[in-house]
Amino acid sequence: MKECCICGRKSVDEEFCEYHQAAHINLKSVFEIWVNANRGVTWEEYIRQVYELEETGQWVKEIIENIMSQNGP
Amino acid sequence: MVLTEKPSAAKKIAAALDNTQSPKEIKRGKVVYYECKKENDELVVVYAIGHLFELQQTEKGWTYPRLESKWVPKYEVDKKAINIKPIINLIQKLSKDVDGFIIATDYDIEGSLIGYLTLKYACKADPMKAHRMLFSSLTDADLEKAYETRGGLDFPLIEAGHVRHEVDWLYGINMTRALTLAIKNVAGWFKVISTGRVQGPTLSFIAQREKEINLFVPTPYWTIHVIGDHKGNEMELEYFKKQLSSKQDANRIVDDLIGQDAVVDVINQRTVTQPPHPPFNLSSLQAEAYRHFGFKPSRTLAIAQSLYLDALISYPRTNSEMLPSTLDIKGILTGLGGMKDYAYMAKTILKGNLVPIQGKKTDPAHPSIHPTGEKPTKHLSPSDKKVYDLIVRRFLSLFGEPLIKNHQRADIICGSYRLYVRGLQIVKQGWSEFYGPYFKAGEKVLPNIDQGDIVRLASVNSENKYTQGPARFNPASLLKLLEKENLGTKATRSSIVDSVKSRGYTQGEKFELSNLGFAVFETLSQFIPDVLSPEMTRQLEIEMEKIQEGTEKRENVIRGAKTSLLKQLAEFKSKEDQIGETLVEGLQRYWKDTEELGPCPKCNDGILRIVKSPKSGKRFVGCSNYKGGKCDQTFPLPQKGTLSPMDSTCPYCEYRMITVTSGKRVWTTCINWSKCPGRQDDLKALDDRRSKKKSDDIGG
Ligand SMILES: [Zn+2]
Repeated sequence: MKECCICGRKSVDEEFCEYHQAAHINLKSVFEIWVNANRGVTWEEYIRQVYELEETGQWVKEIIENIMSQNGP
Repeated sequence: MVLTEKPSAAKKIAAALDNTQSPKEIKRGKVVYYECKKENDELVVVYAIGHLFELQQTEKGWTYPRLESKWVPKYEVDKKAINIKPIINLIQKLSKDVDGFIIATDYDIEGSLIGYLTLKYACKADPMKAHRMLFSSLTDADLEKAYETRGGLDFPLIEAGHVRHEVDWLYGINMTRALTLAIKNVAGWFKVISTGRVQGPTLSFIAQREKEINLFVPTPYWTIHVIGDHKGNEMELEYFKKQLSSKQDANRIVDDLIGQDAVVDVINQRTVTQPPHPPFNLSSLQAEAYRHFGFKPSRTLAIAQSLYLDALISYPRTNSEMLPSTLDIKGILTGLGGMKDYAYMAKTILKGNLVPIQGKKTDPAHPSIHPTGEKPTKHLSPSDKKVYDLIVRRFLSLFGEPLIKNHQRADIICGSYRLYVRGLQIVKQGWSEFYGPYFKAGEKVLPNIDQGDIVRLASVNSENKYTQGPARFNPASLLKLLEKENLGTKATRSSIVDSVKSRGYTQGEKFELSNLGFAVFETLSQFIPDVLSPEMTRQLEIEMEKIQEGTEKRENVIRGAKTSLLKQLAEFKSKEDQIGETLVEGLQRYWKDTEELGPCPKCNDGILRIVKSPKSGKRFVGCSNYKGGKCDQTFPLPQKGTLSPMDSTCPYCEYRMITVTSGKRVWTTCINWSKCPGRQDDLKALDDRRSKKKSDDIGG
């Protein structure tokens, strides 16, 4: 059984658990709204801004930390 | 013998029934009873303290399934209830010399059951021969009337009470044991994990909301702010669209409008008539008290309960939003007219036709919450006073005329764009005058403009904002949801709301789900989702209602509940290992968050965690290698308040930081605070405060 690389729960897609997977999907789908709202925003700018917003959900923030740590500083 | 529910009710009832209003108070150790004379009847008035008897399992073993139970004195099940032993003994002793019994407990399911069980198990009397007093307030008039018109016991109500207790007992005890034993079998720990018939669905609501919050991704939007200049006067204008979803649009609008002249197109008026709010039932009182005073529902209930026991208000555990036509409204208003704060309003209302506005919800036993008109005989605490004032003003407002508001909107046009200026005027205060501070008018004067006037758009800005995630529950909104979902009863809901917190499933005032709560929720939803579904409880409430109407039998309902419980437990048993593992993982995450403080600086391979000394009961930070005798690193901790580890480290000494929450005070410190070079000033200030307190204590 594979574990979620963020929280250690059982993973559903070899990488994340059901919650972090849902957060990942959400993060990807909302990107389009941000692109429409602010033409020219890049994925990197997007996740950095979302990460800094207080309202952003905890699982989403954890996914972003995971993405940023893989991409390096 | 008159059996009452609480000491204060006994005193009040004895005084009301006594011919001279001065019953004889007799002390037996720590317990009191009253002797009084009502015409020629000699009465002994005794009290319970809520339930004196509780269900106990009759088969042996802390395991499951356990389906059989009997009623025993509560202290046999709950050691903390030992204070009721002399009460039961006294009732038992006095009941030998009386020739009849009258139940005068609160008129509801629990009250009826308390009376019945006391009668049966303490007095050993025949319930068929006993009488029942029914009342909705503890005023002399109501109590005397209840005494004159007393009838037999309300057996359907008592049966319904039995069913609720038995089903709650069955589910609570078996499910809690199943969860707890699943952990014990997997990890060998004994940590009680409780759930119950109503608690399960409540936890589920909180967990679903928490998921939505955790998954939320905000999106940007823009708002437009316009300041207009009209003949040298500034005014705020609203752009006709509240939100814009694109930055480019927002920028274009700002560019197009700034510095332009706009024209007042039309000015519309809309008159709205608003009748008074309906009378209070318990949940609307709790919601309003939370809104205005920030009181938790359980606190409001406790306050209302004590106002009821002082005969100042009617019985608060009611669902009704109606005042019956038999209620002596004139008498109540006359009584309120004798109180300084309400005299003027009461006298004004007494000149009218005294027909209150009514709500829709009903209750079989009690009217909506209303003041009795009696004057407080003792000094009310500030919180009691607040709730009392709210109840009185709500009652007074029921007789007020409708409130009339005038909404005004001027439409201002600039090219293809539309802007608004709004005003709100209260034309007639009506009932809001009586509701006073609990009504917020929000009046706003419309600037003095006419059709065709020119408004120069002096300043136009756009502001970037982000959407807000779903809000966490607060005590009042959670209570409202339970009511809407018909979960629990008006009497039990607020304690359920409290219990999810006291069991560690949520943290903070806003019901933030803890890792423990999440672990329990995850496990239940994965393996026994029925326990989380509100369906079972809803079904039970319907069956209880049928029992009260006499169309269903208690035995059938209990048999059905046992069959379905056995099925669920068998299913649980077959997955016990998996359930145990999921819970253990969740608990580990919970402990990591609440107790672990990172690696030990002394031995380097141990983990620091918050532990309690088995000897002194005091908490401190210890190293996980202490057990093997490898490391004796410790740090002292504050003994008061809740501690939670933070991710950050101390800027002075680099030890981990913790948050301490004690009452309303929240502060942070490092675990090394007693030796930390950066905290010696704080430490000295604390010492000064302590020694000052000591000398104050000695001095005065
Ligand atoms: Zn995860």
